[in-house]
Amino acid sequence: MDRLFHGMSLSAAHFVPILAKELLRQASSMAAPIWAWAFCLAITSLPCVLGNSEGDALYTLRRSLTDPDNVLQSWDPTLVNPCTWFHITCNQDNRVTRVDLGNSNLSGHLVPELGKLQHLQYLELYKNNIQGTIPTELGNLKSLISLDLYNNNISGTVPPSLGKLKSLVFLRLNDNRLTGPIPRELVGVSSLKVVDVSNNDLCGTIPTSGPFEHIPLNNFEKNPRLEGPELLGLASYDTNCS
Amino acid sequence: MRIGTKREMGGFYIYLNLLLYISLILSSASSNDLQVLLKLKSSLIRPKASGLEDWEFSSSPSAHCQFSGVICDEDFRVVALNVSFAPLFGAISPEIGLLNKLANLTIVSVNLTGRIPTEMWNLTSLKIFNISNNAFSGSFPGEILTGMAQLEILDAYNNNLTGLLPTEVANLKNLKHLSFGGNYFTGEIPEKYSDIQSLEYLGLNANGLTGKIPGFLGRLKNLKRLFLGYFNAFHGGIPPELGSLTQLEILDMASCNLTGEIPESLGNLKYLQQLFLQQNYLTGRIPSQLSGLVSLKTLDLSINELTGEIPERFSALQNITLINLFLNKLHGSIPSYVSDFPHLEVLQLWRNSFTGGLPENLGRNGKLCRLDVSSNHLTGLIPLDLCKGGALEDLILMGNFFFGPLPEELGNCKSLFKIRVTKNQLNGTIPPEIFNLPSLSLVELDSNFFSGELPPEMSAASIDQLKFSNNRISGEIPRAIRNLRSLQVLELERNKLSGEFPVEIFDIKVLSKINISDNNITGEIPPSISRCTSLTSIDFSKNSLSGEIPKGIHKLESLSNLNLSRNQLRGEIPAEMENMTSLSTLDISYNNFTGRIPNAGQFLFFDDSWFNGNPNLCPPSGVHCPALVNQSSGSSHGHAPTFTASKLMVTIITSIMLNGN
Repeated sequence: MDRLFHGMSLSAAHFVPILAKELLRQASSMAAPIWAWAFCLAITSLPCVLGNSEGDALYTLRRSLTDPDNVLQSWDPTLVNPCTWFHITCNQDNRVTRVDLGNSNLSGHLVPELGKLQHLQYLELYKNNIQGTIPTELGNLKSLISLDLYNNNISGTVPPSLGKLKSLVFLRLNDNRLTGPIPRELVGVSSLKVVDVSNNDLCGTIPTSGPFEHIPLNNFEKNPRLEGPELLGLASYDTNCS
Repeated sequence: MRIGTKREMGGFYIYLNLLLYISLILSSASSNDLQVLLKLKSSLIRPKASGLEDWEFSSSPSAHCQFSGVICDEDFRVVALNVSFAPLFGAISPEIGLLNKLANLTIVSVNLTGRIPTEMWNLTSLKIFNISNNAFSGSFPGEILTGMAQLEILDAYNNNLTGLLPTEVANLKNLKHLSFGGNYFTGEIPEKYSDIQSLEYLGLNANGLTGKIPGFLGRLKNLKRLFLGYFNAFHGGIPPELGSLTQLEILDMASCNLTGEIPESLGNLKYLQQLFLQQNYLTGRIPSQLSGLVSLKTLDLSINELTGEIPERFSALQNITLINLFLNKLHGSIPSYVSDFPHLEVLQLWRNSFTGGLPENLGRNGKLCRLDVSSNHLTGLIPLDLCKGGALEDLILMGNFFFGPLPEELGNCKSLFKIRVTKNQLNGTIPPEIFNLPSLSLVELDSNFFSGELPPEMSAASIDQLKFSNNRISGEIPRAIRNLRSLQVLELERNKLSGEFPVEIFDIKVLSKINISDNNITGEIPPSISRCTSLTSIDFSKNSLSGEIPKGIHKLESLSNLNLSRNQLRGEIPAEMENMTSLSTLDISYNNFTGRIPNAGQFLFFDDSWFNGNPNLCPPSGVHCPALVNQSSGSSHGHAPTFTASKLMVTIITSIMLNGN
């Protein structure tokens, strides 16, 4: 279904900048009117149209990315859900399952709102020029199967919250500028089959238990400060690494 | 007094000059205005910002009157200051209070921050006070208004002001325009605001106001525009007294937590042009009395809990251009008078329980631009004249029980942008001219009973999504599809398409998703597929494709889903596919593949079941792989072995030689 804020566009044109500011305020406080949602669900038992939060989250991502090739041109926030947007795939319930933006000449940075996409399985943002850090909120993506951020310009640390992603199979962060340790929490993600963090600036030791037993060592190469496989039971871990 | 020596005389004259000079400075406030403006300039402009370049010191007492944005009176006093749309990023310094002849202070969209100086109480000549679109913070110092008896316009729209709405506004007897919208004001709307009888424009929208909307606002007899909506959270509903605002032209109370029913008294507002009540919790019926809104152009009651039917007397709304009633609990039929509204452009009724059909004449007014009646219980035929005036852009009928064909007339609709008719009972052939429309972007016809063939000619260069799945379309996929240069998504699954795979499809550079599953397509997968590097998802399953997987398939670096299952494909799996790191699903089950399944790279993560049903396909290691010995076998799927003519000759000659006597 389509929804157009036709009323808003017909009323004084100055409404648009205000609401953009308000969306930013609400998005950053992450305290959207919860009363509105609860009321809406209770009464209508329909997916609430009071601002589709998945569409809003993705639109927040759009606004923080620079998009010279206009691959995000179809990302229209006035639509009732993002399911007709290009590079977005939804399931039968109109929930976003895939974001496919690999190799799209994007720069700018990621946003914590991405963590709201509870049904997201594939987050493909590889081979762009994205900067900034990996938001810890990505640890909330409980359906995530593939997190591909490789070949970007991402800095900061690998959030330990990624250890909450119990369905994660592919974690490819190689070819960025990540620092800090490889979080031990990832050892608990038994579904992990591919981990590639090569070509970064990570430090500390490489986990060797759980899924890391089968990850080849060259997926960790080109991290000059990475010390090699952890020596279980000996010495303390990661003392100089943060 | 006796004048003394010459030296004493000189001293006396110096003293006189000094006195004169001092009194000049004190009384000549115009050179003060110059000083004030220069002081203001330094506070208005943040260190790294620039602007107001011509505001420079000068010894001329009237130089400041030539400054950009400055207007003086005959005494060189500043009466107007208009500094707008420049990235200054500073603040207003208290010196502004010295410009006491100022009648017009307009500083708009300049990124100013800080508080509004209380020194402004001195601006008693102010008529226009506009600081909209900045970032002023703190509370609004209401006390500055007490002296501004001549104030007509007070506009602080879109800042970061907090605290309560200042009650001092109520004392302004000449105030016509009051806008505090787009701030963070809290608390209630002061009842005293109903004393501002001169008010024509009241904007309190987009704040954090609470409490009841005071009925006393109905006393503002001159009010033309009232904005209370967006982010405010009033309790209670729309006070019926608002029906007394007989001059009202715009009433905007969208999204501010309104409950209760729409008061019948609103029908008295005979000059009302725009009524926005959407996105609230309004219940009850749409009052029939609203038919009194004879000037109404825009009616938006969408996203509420309204029940009942569209009132019959609404036929009186002859000026209406937009009707939004979507997402309510309305029922009944769509009145036929809707097609007679001479100016109707937008009709959105989706997600209600409307029954019956669309009025037969809908669109004959020649102005219909957007029609969305999705998710109702509508039936009947699609009216033929929807695009009569060549204005129709969006035709959205999804999720109803419409039957019959898509009107041929739509093929002439040059303005058409979106057709979304999924999940109906439409049949017939898709009008061929639709594929030539210049503005068409999205065609979504899935889950209907469309039949016939796709046209051999297509030229619509703007179409980006074709979704025809789950119909009865037959014939071939036309080669002309390559002309759809903007096509990104092609969904043709679950139809009756046949014929060979058109190699031309992969000329489309931006194609990212193609699904032709569950048809009867034959032929081979064209090697040109490897040039179509935007592809992320390919589903050719459940067809009769033959031949091999093109060797170049590994060039599709963004390919994430490849489903070739249930075809008659053969040959080996190209080893290069191991490097397709984006490929998360590869389903080639139920084909005739041979050789070994690769066991490196991406293949380490594939599901075993994706290779089932290929009797001659061997696991990566171990067991002797018969396919390596006899690669041309394919008989297990009931195909006769293919002999070339020369092989046949050799066989015959050999058997003759062996048997000859």
